[in-house]
Amino acid sequence: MTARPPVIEVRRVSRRFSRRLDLVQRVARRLGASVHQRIVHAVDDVSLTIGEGEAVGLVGESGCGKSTLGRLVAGIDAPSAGEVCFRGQRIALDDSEAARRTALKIQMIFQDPLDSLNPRHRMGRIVGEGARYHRVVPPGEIDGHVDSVLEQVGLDPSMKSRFPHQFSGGQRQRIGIARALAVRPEVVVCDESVASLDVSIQAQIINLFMRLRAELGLAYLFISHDIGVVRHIADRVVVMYLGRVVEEGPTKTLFDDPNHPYTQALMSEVPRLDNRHVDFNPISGEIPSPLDPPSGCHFHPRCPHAHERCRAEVPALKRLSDGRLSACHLNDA
Amino acid sequence: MARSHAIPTLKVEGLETRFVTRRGPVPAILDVSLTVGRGEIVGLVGESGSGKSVTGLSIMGLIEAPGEVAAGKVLLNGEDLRTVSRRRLRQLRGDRIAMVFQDPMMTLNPVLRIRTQMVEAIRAHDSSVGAEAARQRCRDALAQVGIPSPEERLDAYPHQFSGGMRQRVAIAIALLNRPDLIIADEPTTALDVTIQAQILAVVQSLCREHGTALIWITHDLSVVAGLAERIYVMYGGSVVEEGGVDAVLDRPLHPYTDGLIRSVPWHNEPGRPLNQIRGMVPPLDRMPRGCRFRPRCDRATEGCREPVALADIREGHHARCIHPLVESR
Repeated sequence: MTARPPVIEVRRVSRRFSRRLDLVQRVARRLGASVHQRIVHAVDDVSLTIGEGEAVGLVGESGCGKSTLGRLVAGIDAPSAGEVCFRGQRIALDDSEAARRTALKIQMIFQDPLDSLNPRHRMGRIVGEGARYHRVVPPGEIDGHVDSVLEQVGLDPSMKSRFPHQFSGGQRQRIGIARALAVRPEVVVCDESVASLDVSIQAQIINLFMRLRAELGLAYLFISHDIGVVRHIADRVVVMYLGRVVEEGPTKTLFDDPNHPYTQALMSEVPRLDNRHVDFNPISGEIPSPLDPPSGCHFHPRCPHAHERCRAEVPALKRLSDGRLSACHLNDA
Repeated sequence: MARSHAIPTLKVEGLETRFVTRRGPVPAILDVSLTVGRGEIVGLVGESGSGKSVTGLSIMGLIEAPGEVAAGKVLLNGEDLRTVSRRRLRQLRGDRIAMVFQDPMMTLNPVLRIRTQMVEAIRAHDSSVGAEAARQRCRDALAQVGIPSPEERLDAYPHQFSGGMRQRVAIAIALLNRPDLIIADEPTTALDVTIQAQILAVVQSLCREHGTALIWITHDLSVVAGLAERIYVMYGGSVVEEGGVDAVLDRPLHPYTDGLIRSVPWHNEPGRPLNQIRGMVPPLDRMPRGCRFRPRCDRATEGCREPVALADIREGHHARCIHPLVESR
């Protein structure tokens, strides 16, 4: 799809979470009752590539597995099956030197900066600690390095001795970005990084993300439920529903002409400034529980086009004539 | 439009709510005036700290110490909620005027069945309703907001519902007594897009069918664009712009509204830098004199240091600005 060699390659990755049975359930099972361990397929056989300097958007609603996939890519969590590779090397989660080097190259920026910044540390330490520990720059140059990173994200280095609570929401998000940049990453995973910000501040941070990408050649995995933000920032968009990828393609194609019924619903129901006096007529049904997903195509209970096959058979993610991928049986007709 | 109606459902005049701090009283909202006609949907839009939620709570009479409503009138069907007795206020709240919050657990008691809470809301206002009739009304209300198998769901506890369903229950409770006005404070902010659209559909049809007036408080201009007929934009505790939804969004008068609209990603070519309003909202106790948007405004002059009144600039389209964007753009 892209001529650029992939920086990140996610190969058929799954992540399952299981809840251990409590005492009563274990006893009941011993006695022959049919008590099953409940397993959530948070990410179910997902493949994904991110090219050199490419921005990939990952969208979906609650429980679709987008954050879990982000954590797998960032090397914070290990897949139950499949592998995640950085420049062809499988990401390992051990203490080896190679694993640590790779971990530095992939950084993550979280949604709520106040939850991800240590409230007892001063801003200069928060930003510089990773670089100091990993000797990203020689020990004598740490201060200068931190100052230059802070200037890069639009923070005043003279505020280094302040604590996180002394900053506004937008500034705290900049601290989170500075901390990620201080170790000179090549890939940044942004998980809902602008979701909690006011519109005018959100615009400032989105502009910062775009400027940093141009200046540093960063590749992004941009996770968001706000598809307006993703449309603005991403070259390519991946849509997930209940742990599976349902559609993937270049941003413009996906937004102009969504193929999968779920993508279509998502696109038509997102409120836009230009849609006035709307007669709301949404798709019905709730997002099913990931503990008990529907059979076949996960979307079939809510899909206006569902037929018998959708209930029985999981649709494969297939390449369409225009190059994008979509997982819908309707494309076979 | 509903403004031709003799008495509007809600008319708020010169509302001021302040919070008493160690350094003296700080006004959270100043000179807020709103009108909502019968069956009208009005959007109240602003960023954090703009005073939009305080406005909603002040109308409901839910401001508690150290806050106080210091001035203004809140006329519900012509009756001033600020001067009526506590008893009368309790009669009106939950009956003629209801509120829906962002977090439905603000409304729902986690240890009571939905049925218990709904029946209580009916009987508190009309003790003559019999048990079976009350149950019937609760079931109808749940069905109306699109809850499947309402009969069984009446006996469920709040934690047995998903977030979207819980918000529907909260809306159903607000609707029970067919209020004249509902104030909804960010009710869909925590919900997913497809679920938000479902709630918007429910609310819209209810207002159309029953003539319920609605104030939709939100930070999201896009939601209000599709739902509301008129918009009030708040900044720094005051209404800075008011008008029909098309007028405000297509031809904004106030530089703040204009900046806000131009910073929305959908309104920009993908990949281009977004318009950004420089700086940030100052804390309430350090608001500048005169126009509160002045330090962030490109059009500000010396004259902006004087207090500015909300003025009718284009027929029915008001702005609190001495340099409104009136030239054709």
